[in-house]
Amino acid sequence: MQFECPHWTSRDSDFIPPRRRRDIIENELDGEATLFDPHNGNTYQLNQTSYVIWRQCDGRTTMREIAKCVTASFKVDVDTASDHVEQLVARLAESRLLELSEYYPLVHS
Amino acid sequence: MHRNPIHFRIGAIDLSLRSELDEVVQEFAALYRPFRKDGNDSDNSIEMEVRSDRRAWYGRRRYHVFGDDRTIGRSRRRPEVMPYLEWGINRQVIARHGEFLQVHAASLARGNAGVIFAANSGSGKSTLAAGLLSRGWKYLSDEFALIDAETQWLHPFPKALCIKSGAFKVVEQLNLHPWQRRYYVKAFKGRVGYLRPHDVSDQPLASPSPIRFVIFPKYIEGAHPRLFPLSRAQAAFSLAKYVMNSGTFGNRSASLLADVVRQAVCFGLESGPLEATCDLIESVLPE
Repeated sequence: MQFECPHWTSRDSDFIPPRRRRDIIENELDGEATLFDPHNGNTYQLNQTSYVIWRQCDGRTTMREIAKCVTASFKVDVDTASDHVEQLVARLAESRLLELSEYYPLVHS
Repeated sequence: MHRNPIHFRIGAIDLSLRSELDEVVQEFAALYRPFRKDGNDSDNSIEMEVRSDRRAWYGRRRYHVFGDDRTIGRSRRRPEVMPYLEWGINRQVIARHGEFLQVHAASLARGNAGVIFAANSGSGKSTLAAGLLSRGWKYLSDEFALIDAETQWLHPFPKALCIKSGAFKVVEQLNLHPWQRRYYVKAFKGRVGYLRPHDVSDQPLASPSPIRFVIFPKYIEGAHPRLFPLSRAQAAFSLAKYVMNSGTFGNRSASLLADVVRQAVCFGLESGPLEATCDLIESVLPE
């Protein structure tokens, strides 16, 4: 099945709360992490910033809020942080590491 | 009629070899002489067998290699028999020894520190292992590292090092020569020779060792050797590519790899000339 990588608008990120898949096995290592997808056996690596974002993907925190958290943690401006969050969430979604069903239709409606 | 099998314990692995072909048995027995044992005292011994046939009196002999009664390979060329045997043993270890997480790597020990050199074939693992062994490092394994899933310690599987033709000259510069200067033919990889660890050093073998270093070597011809640090997440991610029996551990394998690297310092290595590369490694890894 083809999967289209989502393209967020700035407005999307105000209300989309990405949720990480609960069955993904994560191993934190010195602030970075590896993710293991038991469905396909793939392993992914997250650097420190990406891992902070991943942990915030709880299905309640919006991308905008995640970006603010990144701003506070890594001393970057909010636009840079928003770009980073949106890109990473898109990549995580593309790799099917997020549960998209709750908000994905909103993005493409 | 097949002769009685001869038995070996090669580090953590028990195996036996049976063949009607005397020269095959004698050759293997000589290559693994230090690991020979009198009888089979293991209930998990890998059983290798080599048979031969000839379809007609004028036909060429054909060799069949079996591992635990399953066909491993067949060849009409005698120099391919030993590599098939070696490969078959590896395959059966993967199938039979699920107590170990198996990583495509050479593994050695310096002092009490276990070191994994994980890389694809042709990256210079065996040559590097030979170089370090000649400097007094202790040997654990060549083709793959056996990591105890409970303790995360490296266990020995000190098979003969398989040196490919491209590295013959390099190894000879260390005054080391393939065993009995015999050369074999390994499918897809061309000519190979085997280096017995006991011919490199008097007491070459390591005991089970905790993993303290994980290194990912890549040979680059003419390169100035360079070690660069890797984060543990990078190392765990890279190591995952080299796990050979991840199916055995399923979802546990990722966590096991994380546990492996938590205790280790991790490096990428661009290796060049062997002596300079060994010097560099020894300068970073304390004895």
